[in-house]
Amino acid sequence: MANALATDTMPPAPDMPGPPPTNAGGPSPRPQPQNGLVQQPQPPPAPTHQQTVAALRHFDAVRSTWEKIAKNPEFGKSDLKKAIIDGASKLVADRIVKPDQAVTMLSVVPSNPFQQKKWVAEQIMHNQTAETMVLDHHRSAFYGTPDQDGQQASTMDTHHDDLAGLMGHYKNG
Amino acid sequence: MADVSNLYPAPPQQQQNALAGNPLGVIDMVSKLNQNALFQQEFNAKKAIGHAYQKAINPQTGVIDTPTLMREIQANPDAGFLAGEASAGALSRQGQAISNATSAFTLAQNQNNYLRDTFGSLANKPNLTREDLYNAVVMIGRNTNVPTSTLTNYIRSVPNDPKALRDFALSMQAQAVGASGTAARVAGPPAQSGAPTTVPAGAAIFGQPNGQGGQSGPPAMSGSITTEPAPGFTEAKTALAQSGAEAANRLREANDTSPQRKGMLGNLEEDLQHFTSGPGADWTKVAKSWVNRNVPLPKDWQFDPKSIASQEQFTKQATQLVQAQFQSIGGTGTDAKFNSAYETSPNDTLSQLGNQGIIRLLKGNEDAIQAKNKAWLGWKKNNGPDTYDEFSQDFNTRFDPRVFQFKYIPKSEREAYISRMDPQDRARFVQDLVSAHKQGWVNYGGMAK
Repeated sequence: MANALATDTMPPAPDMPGPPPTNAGGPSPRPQPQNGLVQQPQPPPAPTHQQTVAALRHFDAVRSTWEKIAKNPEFGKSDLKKAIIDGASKLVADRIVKPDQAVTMLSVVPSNPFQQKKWVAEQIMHNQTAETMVLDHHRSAFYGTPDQDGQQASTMDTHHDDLAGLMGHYKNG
Repeated sequence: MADVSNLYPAPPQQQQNALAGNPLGVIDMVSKLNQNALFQQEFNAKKAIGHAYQKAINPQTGVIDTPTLMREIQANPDAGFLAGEASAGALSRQGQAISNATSAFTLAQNQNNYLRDTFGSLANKPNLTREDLYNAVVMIGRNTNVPTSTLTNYIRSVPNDPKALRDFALSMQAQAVGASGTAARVAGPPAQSGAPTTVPAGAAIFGQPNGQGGQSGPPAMSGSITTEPAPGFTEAKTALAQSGAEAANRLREANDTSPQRKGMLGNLEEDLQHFTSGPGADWTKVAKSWVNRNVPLPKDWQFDPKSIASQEQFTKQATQLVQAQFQSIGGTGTDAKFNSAYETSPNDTLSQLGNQGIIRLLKGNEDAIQAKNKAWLGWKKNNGPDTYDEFSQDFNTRFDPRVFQFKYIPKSEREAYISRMDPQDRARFVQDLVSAHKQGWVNYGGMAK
């Protein structure tokens, strides 16, 4: 089932582009399909600077939550659902995830300590993979662009909108 | 016509030497032999060099080890024919490998410099937050080939704490400056005297003016240091130094003339022993006797028995001298400790001391002047001549004039002297007495009659 903190909010892996110095400044690293040829699926547009910053903020906060749980001496030995709920609540309070996302995530947390440990480890791994993929995607598309002129920086006030925009790229891709 | 001789078998004809008819064939053959030998040598050499290469390739990494290759070529005689070319090729390949490694290193170095510069510049932001770190990571990603995992590791490694984040940025800034840059001296905060100082640039980056710890007081921003004294500090320091120097000079002058005054007080005490004071007593006799023994009077001598004609005038003169003594020691005459030894109203208290008591007080104060001057000389050696105010404050917290008077109180009267004090005052007096003794300011051994 979907996990609001990782699977759902984590963008699916974008097609990994080639080496960074490609399509500098362009929205997509891949060549466009030509007329008359079979239309191939469009790769998702690359995340903007703001969207990438929002993604890093999200992944950093989520990672911190999971790692805190993983450092609990009872991790893998006892049911830490309460600690997981506390962590999710903090993420909601910090406006990192929306309440409904947190509820969705909490509904799939296993109760068995061993399964819980395995599940949390997977969340950490998925989180890290997604973080790398988003940053890779952005850097390959905008390689050599020193600054994002004319664009507003991502802040906590725009966090959810920036993340929604990022998710929109990948869902349509 | 047939020749009979044809019937006989012909003797075998002597075979002609093929080369005899064609001398150039010899040359051709020699050439071919040489070519064959050349081919063989080249073949063997290539074979030997091939073996040498095989032995020089690291089976784990696939990398050719040039020194091993050169040794193998040198050891195998078959390789000798092509040793020159093979060596040149090996060295050329090694040179290329070095060049490639150098280029890769330079690239990585430039990327790291960019990374350090970008992270280091965050330290200059007044309100550094983790948001700045995210933005920096994304920008570095766009502008370098630093592996993504390395960049995200930076986010993971920096604790979620503003101070740790700033320390990280400062550390990057120091790395960007480099070892020689951080060792260079830059302007530091002024010394206590206001004199300019220098500190290592690295210490300045981390806001450690002395290179060891944080500067005194909370800095406006971590990493910043003050290099100029506060407005008016220099002027105030100059005025204080001047005031301190004047006070030190007064003490020195008082100390210089103290033995003389003390001697004269001794004379006065002796004269008073032969004088019956009281209402109607003729003080002019005392004055005349004392003046005869103490001419000429020293400069600034505050006590003038010549003008004494009554108890009141004697007390008034004594009061003036006590005030002058206290000022030399550093008191104002109104300090609690001085007041405990002497009240400024001559009619109320000083007169109650009795004439002998007054002389003891004056003599004790002279001892205090000498003790303080001695202590000042010791302090000055360790703390500098411009610290008189600090010294005087330190000395006066441990100084009690009565401790010095106590020396001149006869042993038989000491107990009564102490018992008249209230308990709290007595405890303080005893404490000061012990302290003065430890400091070497007083020595009561056989001093009082």
